Parts: sequence; structure tokens; C-alpha cells
Amino acid sequence: MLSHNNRNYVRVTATVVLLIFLHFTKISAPAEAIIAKALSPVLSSFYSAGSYLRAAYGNQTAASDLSDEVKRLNNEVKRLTIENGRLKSVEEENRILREYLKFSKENKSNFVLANIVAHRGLNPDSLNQGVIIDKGERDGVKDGAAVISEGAIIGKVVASKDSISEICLITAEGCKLAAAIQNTDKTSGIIKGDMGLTIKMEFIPQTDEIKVGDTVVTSGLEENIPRGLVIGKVVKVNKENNELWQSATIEPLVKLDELIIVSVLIN
Amino acid sequence: MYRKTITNTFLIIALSAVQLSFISSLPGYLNDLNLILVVLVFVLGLGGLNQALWWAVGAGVLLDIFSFYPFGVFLIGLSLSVMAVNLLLTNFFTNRSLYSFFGLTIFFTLFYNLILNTFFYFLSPVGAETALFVFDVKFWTNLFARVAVNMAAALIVFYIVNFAGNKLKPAFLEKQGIKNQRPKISV
Repeated sequence: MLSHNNRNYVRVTATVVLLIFLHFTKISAPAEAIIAKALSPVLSSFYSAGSYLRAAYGNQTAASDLSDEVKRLNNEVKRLTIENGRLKSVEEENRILREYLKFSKENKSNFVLANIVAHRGLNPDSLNQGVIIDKGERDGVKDGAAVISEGAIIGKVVASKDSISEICLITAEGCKLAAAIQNTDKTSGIIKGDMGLTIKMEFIPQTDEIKVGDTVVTSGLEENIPRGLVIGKVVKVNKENNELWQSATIEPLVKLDELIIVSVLIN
Repeated sequence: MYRKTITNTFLIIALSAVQLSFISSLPGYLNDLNLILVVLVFVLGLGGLNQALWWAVGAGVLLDIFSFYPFGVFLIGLSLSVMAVNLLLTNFFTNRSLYSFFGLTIFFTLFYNLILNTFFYFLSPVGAETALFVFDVKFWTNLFARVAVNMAAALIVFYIVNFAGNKLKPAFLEKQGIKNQRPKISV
């Protein structure tokens, strides 16, 4: 005769085995999809609240650097105003040239908007620290698709289920992207996340000239990620004369800690 | 009966949602908190093994639905941890003091992280090629931080439960006869 505790163990073990069996035979898939879909708005609200707290905490710690930041941003605004004027004339010129050449329609990518529902995944020790969004295969999201926020790429889809997907952020260790630096040498290579804070591009030939402030974009060599999506700016160049290669530290354009809504490119 | 089941289901969903979305997005060491573990310790201590196991199953299913590891990792991890901690509860931490709950929280966090990391190690495509996680100092420092944060949460939950109900309040047995035989002091 089984004791009361042993009966509980048997009942729960049987339930666990049954649930796993139902999952792998896809019998429970519709129920799981419904649960994921139904909970997404709740999770999204909770995530927004937590994200707000994290942003407030971040702003608090960064308050001391505020005056320097204002000066830097004023200079940046001046520089960008000049660049904006120049780019507008280039855009106009590009439009006219396209008309002359009867260029085929520009590639306009479709995208799907998604809410972030969880941060860091569920395993804090995992190298692939990322976020989970509330859109999945049912919405057209595919593995490897680019994820964009504020016009810049912030990561790519690494796994997708029916109604949720996992994204590795570009600063996460283990997350890699094919990229190019917009310098005179058009340096291209692979960027990868560094300690969840910045991005690194390694194995750049010593002969390539890279400057702090150079823009880094996607190179288009990766499937599902178009060319020219802005990743960030070079903030440090690590060049040693006795080394074979040089490396660059890149700062992402978007504050990844404050993300709430992102868009996923779908073709 | 149905009312109790619905209440429990609602609480499990709320707890899992808070853990999945709110706590994971908090800054600093706060996102090391595992509120599910802390609550399960109290459910086990105050509600019993049966209730704790069903809470573990419910929370495990929800975590597995939102995870990208093979289904069942969190379900098995939570259920096994509850079973292991129940053995400690029935044999060593038999009273319902704050120290007992601290002890149970420490062991629960330890068991849960060891079980999960064992799964992650063997499921990872590069797992078998790297050193076992128990030889990694980072694993133990992270675990220490998690234990500390969970203990702080256990302290708060203990006083909330103590304030809200009388399940943790000490009970004194008073012999009726002795009480009546007390000598009256007259001035």
C-alpha cells in the first residue's frame, strides 16, 4: 500500500510524463498556442512595467554624466543637421537617376510589429541572452530574420515557435551578424556581442583605416538580413602594430535595455 | 473545490507571468530573483506537498510554453526540486520558523539550479565539449547571488504571511487545570 506522499509523487510524475508526451506528439499544440496568445498582453504589460523601472534606474545612475552628454549631443545634432541636408540632396539625385534608368521598384520589406514579453530568456546562465517576442511562425517570423527598432537592427530571430520567438540581441555573447564599416576601405566582417554591453568586430586587416565615429551597417551577406541596416558606431579601435589584425568596439545605436516594441522583417 | 482550483490556477498564472516578464526585466541583481521558487517553498511549508507539486506542475508548464528549451525542462526541474525539498522539510526543517524557510529556500535554489543546468549542459550542442558547469566559478558566484536575493524575498514573504494570517504564529498549549489553579495575588 502506497503512503500518501508516494501516491502524490506517482500522480504528479504520471501527469508530467503525460504532458511531455502530449507536447511531443503535438496533441497539446493548439492549447499551448492559445495559452501563449492569451497571456501575451499580460506579459507585455508586466514587461513594460519592469522595463520602465530598469530605464528609471539606468537614468538615475547616468545623471552624473548629464552635462557632458548634453554637450556631446549638441555637437552631434550640428553634425547630423549638416549630414541630413547633404543626404536629402543625394536622395533627390538618386530618385532622378532611378527614373532615368527605369530602375525596378525598390525592395520594400514587410515587417511585423511585436511586443517583447520576456527578457534574458529563461536561463540566466545562457550565453544567448536575448528577449522573447509575442510573434511567431504563424505571423510569418522565420529564424534568422532581422529585428529592428528605431530604424536600426537590434538583433535577429534565433528560434521561433507558433506564436512566440526568441531574439538574440546584438550585444549578447554568441550573437553574430555579417556587417560592414562605412569607411574608405568598406571593411566587412562578422560582428559579435561582447559581455551583453557592446559589440566587437575582430580580424580586421591592419591596412584598413577605421576611425572612431564610423557607421557600421549590415553587409547583406546573411540570408533574411538586407544590406544597409544601421548597427551602430565605432567607439574604439584596438590597433597594435605587432598584431596581425585589428579590432573595433561598436556601440549600438539603440538603447537595448529600453526596448518594448520591435519590428521583425518578413519577406 | 472548484473555487479553490480556480483560485490556485489564477495565482499560478499570475506568479509565472510576474516571473517571466516583470522580474526578468528588472535592473541589477533584482532579476536574479526567482519568485516561483520562494512561493513554492511557502506553499510546501504551509499548504502541503500535494498543493506544492501541482503548483510546480502548473508553473513548469507555463515556463516551458515560453521557453526555447525542449518541453519539460522546467516542469521536471520544478517538480523534482519540490520532491527533494519535501524530504528536507519532513526530516530536518520540521518547524515553521524563519530559519526553516531560509534553509528550504537555499536548498530549493540549489537543487533547482543544479537540475536545470544539468539539463542545459547535456542539451547544449557544445555542452559535452566544454567543462562541466560545476567546475565553473561563475556558476557558483551567480548561484550565490540568486540564493541571497531569494532569501531576501523569503524574508519579506515570511513577514507578509505572518502579518496576513496566523499559520506562522506560535501556538502554546495551556493545560486547563493548571490555569485554574493559579494562586490569586491579593494586596
